[in-house]
Amino acid sequence: MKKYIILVLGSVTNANRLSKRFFQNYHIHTKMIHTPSELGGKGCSYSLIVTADALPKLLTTAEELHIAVKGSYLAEQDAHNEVYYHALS
Amino acid sequence: MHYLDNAATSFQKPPGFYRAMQTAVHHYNVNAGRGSHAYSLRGAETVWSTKESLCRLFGIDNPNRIAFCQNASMALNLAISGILADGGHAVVTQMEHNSVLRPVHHFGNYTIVPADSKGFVPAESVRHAIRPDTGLIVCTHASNVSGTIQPIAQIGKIAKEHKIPFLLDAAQTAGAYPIDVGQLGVDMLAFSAHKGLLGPMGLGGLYVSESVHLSPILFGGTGTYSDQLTQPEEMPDFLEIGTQNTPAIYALNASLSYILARTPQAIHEYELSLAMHLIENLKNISGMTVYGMTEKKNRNATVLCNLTDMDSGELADRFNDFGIATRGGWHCAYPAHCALGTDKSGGVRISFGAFSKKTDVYAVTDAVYRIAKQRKR
Repeated sequence: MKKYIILVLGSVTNANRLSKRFFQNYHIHTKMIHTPSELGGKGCSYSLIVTADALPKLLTTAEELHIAVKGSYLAEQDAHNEVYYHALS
Repeated sequence: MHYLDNAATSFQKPPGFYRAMQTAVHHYNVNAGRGSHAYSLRGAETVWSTKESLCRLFGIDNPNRIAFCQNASMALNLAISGILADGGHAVVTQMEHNSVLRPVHHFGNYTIVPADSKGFVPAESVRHAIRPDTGLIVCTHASNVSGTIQPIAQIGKIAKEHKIPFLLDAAQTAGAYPIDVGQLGVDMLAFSAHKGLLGPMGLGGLYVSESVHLSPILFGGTGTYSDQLTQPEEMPDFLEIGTQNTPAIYALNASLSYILARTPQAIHEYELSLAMHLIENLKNISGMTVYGMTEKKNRNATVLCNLTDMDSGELADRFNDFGIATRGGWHCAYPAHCALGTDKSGGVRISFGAFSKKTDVYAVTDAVYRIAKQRKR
């Protein structure tokens, strides 16, 4: 089962800004996506995908940039590509 | 033309600004933060980058606390209306521009703190105007009429003691005088891009500290929380509605780079040296009166003057005949003229900028001699 973290942010601006600063700070790439509808993402909400071990660093970077985090979720993707979300915060 | 109307707008800009304007219209006609395509992201990045520059300039620690808007007047309206719409009394000074006086007058519950004949407002006078229901103190940093600089740090301290939000109108000082919101005790800072910041017209901004709660005055799209009908409460979305002026914001950042390198303190000292040179010259011309502070202390590079028995508008027109751009009249600040004693005829405002030269001082001095001499005939 594939596991990853989804960090939900308020806007594409914030998601992009956080992604870039995170790479500058730690040289770790993130993937920016529209927030899945299951997580309340409608319209303008964007999220970043990272591995679980990178989450603390990503949260620290968000704090550094004064970017509000709307939520963080553990996503588990099974063999049939079904994704299950578990709230972390 | 000897351009000496920098209190209205700076005409000469840094070389990088002109290049940036060209780049802006070619590459930054984008809707910042409205979508995830490359152009939108590029726009959002330049908005953020410009706010970071403004943070360095004003001692602000969080770029999200700055909202761009149309100009300083709109910024002042957002702040004043955002507080007084819920009621409360405001303390303002006699030296305010109509962009402050008209909004507070609209709400009707305010006290105007008088200035002395030099245009100076003692901080203790502000303290005495505070009432139990005072919810806002507003003060201009430097008068747009006489260039008198107010005791902002002292007023900021008084505002803090009374836990009243303090709004600073920095239209005349941003970029051309050192400003640190923390040191000055400023809770909100309104600025325009096109004056001392040496940027484009049609752009201004408002800094709002985290301790201040504003009510929303304008409503609209922000690129965030699109499924909600209420205005987002987060800054800057709370205030930044509709499409941002991304090309202007990009160009402003080029001007900010210039200012940060030269420093506001150095720009102030340079401009002030020219203003003092002119004041000394004008003092020696029979019939000329200079108003406001005539020494270096508590003033910037805006000089208000009159020639005996000549209307200020006529004198400004005569300056124009000599190729000198100044501004006569009341400068959208009639109460300030009442304090300075120029309420009947107004005054001629001569305001230096970052690119003014000694030859501008010589040109004004020579023109005044000639105008005065012609009148004696």
